[in-house]
Amino acid sequence: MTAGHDEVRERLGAFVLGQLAPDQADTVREHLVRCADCAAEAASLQPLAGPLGWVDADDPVPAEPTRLRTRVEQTLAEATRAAREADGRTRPVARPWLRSRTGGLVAAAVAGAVLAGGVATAVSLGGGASDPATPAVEVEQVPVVAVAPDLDVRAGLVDHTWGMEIELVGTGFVRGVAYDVVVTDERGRRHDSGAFVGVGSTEMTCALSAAVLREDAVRFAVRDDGGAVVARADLRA
Amino acid sequence: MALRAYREHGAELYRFARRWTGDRGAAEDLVQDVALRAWSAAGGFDPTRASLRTWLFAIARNVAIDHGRRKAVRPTTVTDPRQVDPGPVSDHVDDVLRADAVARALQTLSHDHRVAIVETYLRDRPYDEVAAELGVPASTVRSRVFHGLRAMRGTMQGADRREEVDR
Repeated sequence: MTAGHDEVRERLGAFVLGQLAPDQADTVREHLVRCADCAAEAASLQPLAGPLGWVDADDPVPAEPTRLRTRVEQTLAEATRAAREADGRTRPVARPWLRSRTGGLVAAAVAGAVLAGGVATAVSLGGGASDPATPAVEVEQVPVVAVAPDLDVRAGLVDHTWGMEIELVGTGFVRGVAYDVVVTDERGRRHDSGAFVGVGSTEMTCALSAAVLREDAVRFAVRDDGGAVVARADLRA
Repeated sequence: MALRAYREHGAELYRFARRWTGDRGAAEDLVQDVALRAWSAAGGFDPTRASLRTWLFAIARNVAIDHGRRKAVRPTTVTDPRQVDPGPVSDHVDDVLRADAVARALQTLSHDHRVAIVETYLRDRPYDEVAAELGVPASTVRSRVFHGLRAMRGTMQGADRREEVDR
């Protein structure tokens, strides 16, 4: 049987979806042999059929549950921690200021350095400052190169799902001078990660937050108010 | 790296997993396995060779094959289900990987075109029944399916071109 062009063309959608009865499908196939236009049309629609068969009619674009996101992020964080422990690059410690200072981080910071810009983190510290049950956090010690004279500084990193904390402990930051900390990620982007004021020869302890994932961080630099780097650390594993 | 890939593409990964497994719980397990596999393979990611998304979904493809195929695979392009050759599992994974773009293109259709495709194909209902329900001839439903598919193809080609430009 010979079917008209328009009649067949209207059936091309049903044809590529495999919805035609066998005799109707044969009629379309016969037409496609003779009609390059319809053959091209059918060929361009055919790739939709397979993927479309996997779309749920009742829930075509299902939403990811929030609990799944939390679960996966926790799993990845645990995997990272376990790997670092296995590497021996970290040691689990409790932050001394959590146990010894009733004021927690703020007291420690005031004793050492004045935190500026509201960037110092207190949100990650969890339980009460004097709570003996406060869980230890794992701090990854990283080697810091002091560029400025008389500067003695150590740094530790704490990995978080939202980024990381940099804990600076040191002496020799010039009293009254404002310093800032910049983290560079693997794409070369710089992230302002907090600031503090130097207190001279008194040892300061300062916790800063960086909106960069630990695994993406390449280095950090401490700069003085003139922009000169006074200390830096390579953060690549 | 794995965390960033998951944060940027986790929602799409979940949709892939839902379609592949057909089950919420199994989909969540699949997503978690993909994320962990990506975490352990992060050293192999080379941004000069593939985008983060391409890399993540290449991993997803392998994990999905490991998880095994969804039990009920519907026939798609043949007229007689008895002739269905299930084909290699990898073919089905590729279809499911493309299903997200197709699903989003389906969402952009006019109501008439979308209903015609959803009812006759996704719900596998006879044309005559759908036509009667809509109060139109069956030929009109066939025509809507055809024009709906053409519109979806156009939407997807436009999205492909935009993706090219973004790269």
